[in-house]
Amino acid sequence: MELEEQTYRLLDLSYVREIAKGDVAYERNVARLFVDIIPENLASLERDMAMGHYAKVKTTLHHMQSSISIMGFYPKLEKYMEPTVYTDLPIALFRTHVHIIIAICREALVEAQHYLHSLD
Amino acid sequence: MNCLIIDDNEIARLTLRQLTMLDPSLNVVGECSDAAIAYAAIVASQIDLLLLDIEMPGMSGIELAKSFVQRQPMIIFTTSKKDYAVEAFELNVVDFITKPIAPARFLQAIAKAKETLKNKNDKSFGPADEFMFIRDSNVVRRLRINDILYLEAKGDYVRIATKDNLYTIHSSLKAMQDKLPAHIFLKVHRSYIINVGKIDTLEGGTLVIGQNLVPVSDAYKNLLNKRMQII
Repeated sequence: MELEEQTYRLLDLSYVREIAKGDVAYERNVARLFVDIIPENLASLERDMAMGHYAKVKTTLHHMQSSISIMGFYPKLEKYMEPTVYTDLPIALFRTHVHIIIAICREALVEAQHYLHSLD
Repeated sequence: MNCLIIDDNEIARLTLRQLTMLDPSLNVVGECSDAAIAYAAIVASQIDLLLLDIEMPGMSGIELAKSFVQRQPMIIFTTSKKDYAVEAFELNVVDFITKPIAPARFLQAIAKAKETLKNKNDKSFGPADEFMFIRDSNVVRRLRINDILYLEAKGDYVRIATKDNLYTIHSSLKAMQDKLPAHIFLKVHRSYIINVGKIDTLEGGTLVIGQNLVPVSDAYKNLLNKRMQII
């Protein structure tokens, strides 16, 4: 029986599946790493935002870009991520963008947890 | 082709490793999350190709690429940001690819690396120049590359062992490693480089080459095992 592939509102798994070429262990490892690492990244973002350490916020966001790209939802974050990481936005706008990015990543995290369970 | 993956993002490293499986000639000898640590690994090992991220905490990929004084491995930059392309290509790298890396684009970059390596090896030691000249005491001597069994560092000198002779030249092991073809010779200890095709036996941490015993240090064991392709 061919299983219908789950589609998600944010995650686009076509890249992961293209790279995996049927290697479920790779898919599982990517999903597990994402589920493990992104909460740590989000906690760093929130901590550094609260302390006004905006340079550190940019570094963390940059670090998250690869993970987000691989899980296929960078296009949905790009308009917030690019100006936030690579330009000097006014602080109010910077903070708004970061909060939107955090909210989207939290939603993606729930989808990634579902995806990970679907691979068991 | 021995390659090293350098990226501070674990998911990116995992994905690059998965991509390398597309080409069986790629032998991933390790992964580093930090360019400074990678530098030490590159200097100590025989690495042909770096899959190198640019923006990393501490030392960047571009700084790492600029840090090689002598033998620079081939570099394929892998980055999320296109803005570095001009600076990257000025460093004479093989290719520059942006993430997420499509398999076809990855294989295209690897094909370029193979071509570069082939040209490099052809230039280094082709059929017409498969020998080198050494100054042994007061004599300049022609030595066939493939007659060399191993080289041993001895202070400011290097001893070159062949089946019948032992020559001593004023040089460093690093300088000799840079001159010798990487597909034939391998460093197995901080004081020894061997001709892989001349190994008779390997037992524990010791190689037998002809009538000579050559130690293999733990740091080089994995690399040696991979090169020997033990069945």
